[in-house]
Amino acid sequence: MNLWRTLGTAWEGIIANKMRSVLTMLGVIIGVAAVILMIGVSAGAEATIAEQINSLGANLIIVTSIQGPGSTAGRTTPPKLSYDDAKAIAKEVRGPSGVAPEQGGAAQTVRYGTANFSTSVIGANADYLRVRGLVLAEGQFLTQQDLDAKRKVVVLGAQVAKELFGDASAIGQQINVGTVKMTVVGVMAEKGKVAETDYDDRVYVPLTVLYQKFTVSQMAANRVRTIYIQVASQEGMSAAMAQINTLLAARHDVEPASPDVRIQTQGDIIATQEAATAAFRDLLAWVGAVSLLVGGIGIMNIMLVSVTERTREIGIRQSLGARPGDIRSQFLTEALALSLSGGLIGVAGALGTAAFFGSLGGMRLVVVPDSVLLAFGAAAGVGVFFGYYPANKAARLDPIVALRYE
Amino acid sequence: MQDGMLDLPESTPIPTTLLTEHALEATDRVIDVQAVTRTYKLGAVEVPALQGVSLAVERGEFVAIMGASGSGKSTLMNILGCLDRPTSGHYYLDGEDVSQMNKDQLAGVRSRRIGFVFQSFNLLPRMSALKNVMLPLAYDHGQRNGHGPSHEERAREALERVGLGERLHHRPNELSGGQQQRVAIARALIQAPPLVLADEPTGNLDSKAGEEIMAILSRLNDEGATVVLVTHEPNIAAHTRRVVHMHDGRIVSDEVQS
Repeated sequence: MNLWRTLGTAWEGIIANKMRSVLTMLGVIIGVAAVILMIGVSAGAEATIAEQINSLGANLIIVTSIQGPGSTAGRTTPPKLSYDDAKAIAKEVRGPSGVAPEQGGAAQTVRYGTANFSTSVIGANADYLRVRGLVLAEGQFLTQQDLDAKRKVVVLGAQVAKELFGDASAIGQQINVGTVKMTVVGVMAEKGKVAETDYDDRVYVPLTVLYQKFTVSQMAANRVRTIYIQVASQEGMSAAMAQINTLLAARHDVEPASPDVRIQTQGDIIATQEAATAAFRDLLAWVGAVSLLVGGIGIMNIMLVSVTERTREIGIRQSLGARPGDIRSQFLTEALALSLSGGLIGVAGALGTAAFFGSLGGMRLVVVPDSVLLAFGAAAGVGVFFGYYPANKAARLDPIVALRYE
Repeated sequence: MQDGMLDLPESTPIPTTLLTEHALEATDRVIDVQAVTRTYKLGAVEVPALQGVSLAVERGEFVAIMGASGSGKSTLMNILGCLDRPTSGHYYLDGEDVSQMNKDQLAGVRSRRIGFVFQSFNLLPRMSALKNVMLPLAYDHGQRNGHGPSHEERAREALERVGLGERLHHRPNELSGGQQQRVAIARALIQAPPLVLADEPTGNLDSKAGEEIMAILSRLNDEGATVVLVTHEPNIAAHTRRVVHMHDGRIVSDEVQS
């Protein structure tokens, strides 16, 4: 019996029992959809993470303060990481191609004429633009001279520039940042939000100016919250991290084994974010696997019922010359047709769900073509695996018994 | 129709020894059953259904096998139809010993050399008459492709021969009992088998439809088909030319009718 005719026969079998077929397929449908969505979620997360790697800058070491043991019982020790530490790293550690300290000041209202906007003020240095992989829309970034001379210059985030100046150029204009009159030297290109940080809603001022004008307490003078260190090559990363640790431990007078700062690479940061999506992905993987298993058992069950119901038909086919192999392939094809139809509906369902989530703009779902093939293959495997036993049972029927079956 | 009947399928070569040995005594026998027994095992008990049956049917004969239930006629029918194998003895179908064939080989013999007509028609309910008639062709693995009429043309021809040329696309439940049995006969004929086996073909029909079916079988026999019929109705057996009576697993009489 040729393939098309076998498929045709199988399809007739499915059509003859529409409701039953759909219910049977349900497990496979859910399983296939879950597998595709699982891989879609994880691919979406990976794409987001890849973007974050790019946005953080390549070969980046990130040094942040952690609260020391002295911060307990009402006595606060401000984070020890300082601008001087950054300078020391730039001077003494081998490998860095850029060192960019960052300190955030209190939120300030920026004003130009009648327009005003509340935003955060970030203290940075000249390396910051390159190390963080940021892009200017116009003008220039802060320079070392700006820091040394404590010039009152400011670089605006894209949104801040838009709020204050609309489409007009901001370069050279005087604005008020809080109570301080400053000159706009640059405007950042639009970047958007990355990992909860809105790069468009901030202004950059020289770190030294931040200490002078925007620092709330004297305790915080000279402090930085983060030092970003760019290393020239991937190979130099671990050596640079070790040197930074030794250097900072010595400067802060702590044991190198128990440092008061956290030294991470962008990979470490990404790993923590990945963990969040991993839990959801694992859940879907289990849903997919269990659904496919249950779907397979459903198919086996319905195929066994079908073999019993159609014992007479099997006998008739045998009397007309069907070999055991013909009968087996007929029922196997039918099981396969059930699971593949279920698979097809599952794929459609997954694509629909992905499109729906895409339109919501919440979770990012990327449908990977390979995952569709994988899920479809798994459905086919389920059909063959769970269809074999009933098909074999049908093939082994004695024609005499089958013909007499009522 | 006789052309090609002697063609042996390529897939099942005949052992040379059997062929020569057999050829010495057989001339043109479609059925040559030699001392066949069939014993069923029911638990520890052995039930002898056939106790040494020998029967020869020449090409073109029309034979009725009669007997009460339990006489062994159904068992013999199953063996003649290659649905079952004898416990001992030999069965030469169209010159070939089929008594020791495996399941696949027996299926091949059924597909090409035997046409079945059953009491309850045994049509597949979901298929049209045409598709039902085409069914044996689907299982003929030794088929040569590319020559002669298509499967559908052959099925159409077979249905026309039994007078159902107008009902090709009707499903069994849209046909009367007599018409259904004619579809079954067309299906039995489509491969032009050397042997047509009819098991109580009129058993589920009223007498008028039964007469029609017997008329068709007689006509097919006149056209050269070898027909073996199992029945317990004497008036049906009366249509044949030879009546074999069975009792307790043995042939008790074998009479040629005038």
